[in-house]
Amino acid sequence: MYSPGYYEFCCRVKIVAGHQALEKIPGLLNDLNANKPLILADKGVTGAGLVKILSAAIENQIEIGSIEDDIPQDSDLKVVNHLANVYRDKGCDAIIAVGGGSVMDTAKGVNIVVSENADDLMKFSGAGTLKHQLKPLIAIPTTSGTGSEVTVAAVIADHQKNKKMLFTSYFLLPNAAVLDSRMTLTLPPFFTAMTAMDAMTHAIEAYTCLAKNPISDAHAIRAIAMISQNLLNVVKNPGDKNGRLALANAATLAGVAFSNSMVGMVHTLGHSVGAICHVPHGTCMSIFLPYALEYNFHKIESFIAEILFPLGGEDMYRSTPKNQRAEKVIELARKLNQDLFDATNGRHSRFLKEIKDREGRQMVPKDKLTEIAATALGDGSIFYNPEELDYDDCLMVLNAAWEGVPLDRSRIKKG
Amino acid sequence: MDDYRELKPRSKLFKKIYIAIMLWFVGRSIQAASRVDKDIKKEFDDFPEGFTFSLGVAPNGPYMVVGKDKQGKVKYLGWNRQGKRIDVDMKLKNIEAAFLLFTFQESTCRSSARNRLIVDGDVPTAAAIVRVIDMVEVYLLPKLIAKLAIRRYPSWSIMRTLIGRSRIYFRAILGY
Amino acid sequence: MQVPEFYEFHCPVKTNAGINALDHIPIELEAMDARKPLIITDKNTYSKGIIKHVASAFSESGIVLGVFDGVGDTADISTIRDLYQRWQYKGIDSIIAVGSGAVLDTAKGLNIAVSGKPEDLRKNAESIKTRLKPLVAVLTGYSNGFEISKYAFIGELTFTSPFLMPDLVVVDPRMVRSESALRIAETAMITFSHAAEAITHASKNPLSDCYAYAALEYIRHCLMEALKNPKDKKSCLALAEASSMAGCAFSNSRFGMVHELGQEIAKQRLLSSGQAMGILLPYGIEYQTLKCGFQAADMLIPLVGFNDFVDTPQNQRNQKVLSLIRQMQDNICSTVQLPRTFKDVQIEKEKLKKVAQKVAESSSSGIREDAYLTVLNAAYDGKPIMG
Ligand SMILES: [Fe+2]
Repeated sequence: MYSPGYYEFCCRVKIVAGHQALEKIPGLLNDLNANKPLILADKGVTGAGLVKILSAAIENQIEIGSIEDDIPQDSDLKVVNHLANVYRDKGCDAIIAVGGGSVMDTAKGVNIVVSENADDLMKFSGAGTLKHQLKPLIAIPTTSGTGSEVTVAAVIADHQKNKKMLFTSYFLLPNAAVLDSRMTLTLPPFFTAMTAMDAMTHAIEAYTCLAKNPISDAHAIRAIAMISQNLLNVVKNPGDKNGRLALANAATLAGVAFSNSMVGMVHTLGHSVGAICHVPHGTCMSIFLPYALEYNFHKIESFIAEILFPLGGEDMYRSTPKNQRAEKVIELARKLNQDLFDATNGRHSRFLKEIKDREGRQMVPKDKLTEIAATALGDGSIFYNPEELDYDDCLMVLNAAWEGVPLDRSRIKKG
Repeated sequence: MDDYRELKPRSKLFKKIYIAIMLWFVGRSIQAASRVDKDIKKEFDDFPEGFTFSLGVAPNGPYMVVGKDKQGKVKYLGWNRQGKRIDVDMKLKNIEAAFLLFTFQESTCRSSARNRLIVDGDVPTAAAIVRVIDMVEVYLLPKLIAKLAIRRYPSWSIMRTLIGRSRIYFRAILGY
Repeated sequence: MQVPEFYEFHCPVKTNAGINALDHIPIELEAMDARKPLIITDKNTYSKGIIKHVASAFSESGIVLGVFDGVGDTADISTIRDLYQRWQYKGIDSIIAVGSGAVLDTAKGLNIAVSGKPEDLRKNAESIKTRLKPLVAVLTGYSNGFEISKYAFIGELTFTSPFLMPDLVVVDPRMVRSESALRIAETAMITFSHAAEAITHASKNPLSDCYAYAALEYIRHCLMEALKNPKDKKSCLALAEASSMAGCAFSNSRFGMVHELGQEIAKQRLLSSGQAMGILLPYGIEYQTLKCGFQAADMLIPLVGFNDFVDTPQNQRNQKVLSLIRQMQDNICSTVQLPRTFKDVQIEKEKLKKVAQKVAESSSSGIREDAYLTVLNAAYDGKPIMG
């Protein structure tokens, strides 16, 4: 068992999960002394009928202050301020956020504004500037991926000043995360694959990066097992309610793991590809995952080998000789991408060069790789990666991931 | 009630002085290294003029402040942060955390993995500063100790390390 | 592994564990807008001279720390009343509780009083629904997980609320040294029982599982080492961490028979709860696996690791765990001279009958008296229920 010498661990969010979990929300709000929530969502969420399901589940017992579903993908300060005004005008006393990362971040921002009565959100950016409990916030994730229902951070853009503000505080955590299988049941296979691979990456990076600790390890192991046992099944049978619930649980477990143990170079590179080429986060995650395992192999072989148990299952673990287990994990990570590629009729990308946008254009031209490598050096996750990464290292990995060939491990500089 | 008593915690003067000296020396060495090493200079080139960063210990110091002046020169700006605008603020959470770092019992990465380091400010810039500090450590410390302080010892030529080291030491002590 | 149809999990505790953990307390308090804590402890802990480590963390804050060391064997209202008055005068804004269950119970009681109305302490309230004042628990060698649980036992009353759990639990190697191997074994058996019943319980959930899993891994790796060498800092630290994780798991799952019976035996002053749970553990887990839908096999991985787990055929895993627990009990008992059975400590069967009766009356588990008695009798004879 690995002992890190010193660690901090916290999972303060109450988690309520099940096939009928939404029905518990009025009780949760009641416990928080609130009875008029503002519901935040985006058009995709309402389009899929999810807000309707939520309303039906709670409106008998509680008055909904307002439903606001025009949060854009790239939400910003203006949206936050507008929604804060709605909250005040309608006399709301709690927020329910239904959606993915953008909705969650926006909700956290709105919560700061309405709780601190702030006219300038900027004052509260950075770490530890919030000192008080905010208004009740309930998070309902609609993808099984980001884990942002249990993370302390929020990123809010100010498009006018062309700036991104980072907020981190335990007070930003939702009071409760409600995981309900109905909320992910209609997620198309391709999105399911992408977001679940984000969760998978959270768990694997949490288990292998520098801030790992025994309790987050337990979360990671459990999350990896649940995803690998259910993902392919759910992608092939989207209506599998139990599988959906398992993935939702796994994403939250992975979120708990990585918000305590942080993530490494999969995210370092993934964030940069996302920032420069606007590739969806989960796609980057699944592509870089095998490469990060190869790159860090010499530092963390024993941790990678342990992952074979949850990832490959007990039979595979038993039949794989001890010294080949870590290699097997890398092989499985690649195979999983291939299987998802097959199961989504090629929509799930395996390498950078095959990522296409809706019009079928290539999203990551090869000549962007140098810019991506340079950007990667500025990503905070780089410090939690087991091995050092400089510009040349990033470029080497990017090139291999672009072509879809394994890393030439003789070229890895070992510290 | 004799079940109640009051304790006045003792101050940790020795550790504070030690850390203050280390910070002073690291600050002056960063200034020196920015003139000696081209990689370090390059990291600083991207920072805007008038940019400042601070490394120190919460809540009351000691601190050191390094900045870039109007001519684009990197300067150690002393231990006092009063009245200075700090763009990137890096603080160890307490004296003991700083002591572990500056006695090389914990590397920068380990310290941040153990959640003992608070970084406030632009993240890419902070990342560049950490790289600069890592390189300065390679110059200042014998290989055996530097290896504890950083993740991967760079494959610099012997000449770069040795000549750079003596020039940086010389400049840091004389302060130019 | 199945995901339950429905569950809730809530553990508002942050854990800081390891080297120099104490030194992070001021910045953690600051983040909760608190600067002037009151330290609550008992005479025994104070006399060990370890409170100075807690105080030393505040060297930069410029404050004078108040230390109250008058907590007795159990928490009582009059102590809390005294502390409440002191709180009013001294501008205190947070609590650091150092020590065992009674210290934490007192701290939780004080927190109820200072965060709301002191009258709340008179009712058997289950209605604490809001965050209380910042409460930090510093674990010592006496910690068994009750400290960080959602329960507070004050006088005759029991309070239950997740908001009673400390905001922060600190496990620092300087604080957790135990005075004897016997003491370590007693507290570890409580940790072990709580983790075991949480992870095997028929109505468990994936999150509390993680806490129980980590606690059991620590037990597996560090318990015997600590018993053989009670001065070993690393093992003592690990066991203290395990106690707090088991406390989290335990606060989020229903009671098992081992816990219920162990508590009742301690309440009737027949035996300490640690010794009682130590005796009961194999029989309680066995009975519940046979009759109550518990899955003993679910604790096999943390107890033996992946390698031995995959080498054990699926249909033998329950049995393997049961024999493993018996074997561990045997090892522990022969290392530190703990009783193995109720017969060893001469608790008559008549008295056990009374215990079973009492537990069946008060338990909400729906388990009948004769079931409790079966477990007690097996633990009396030291014979597995299935023979
Ligand atoms: Fe991610």
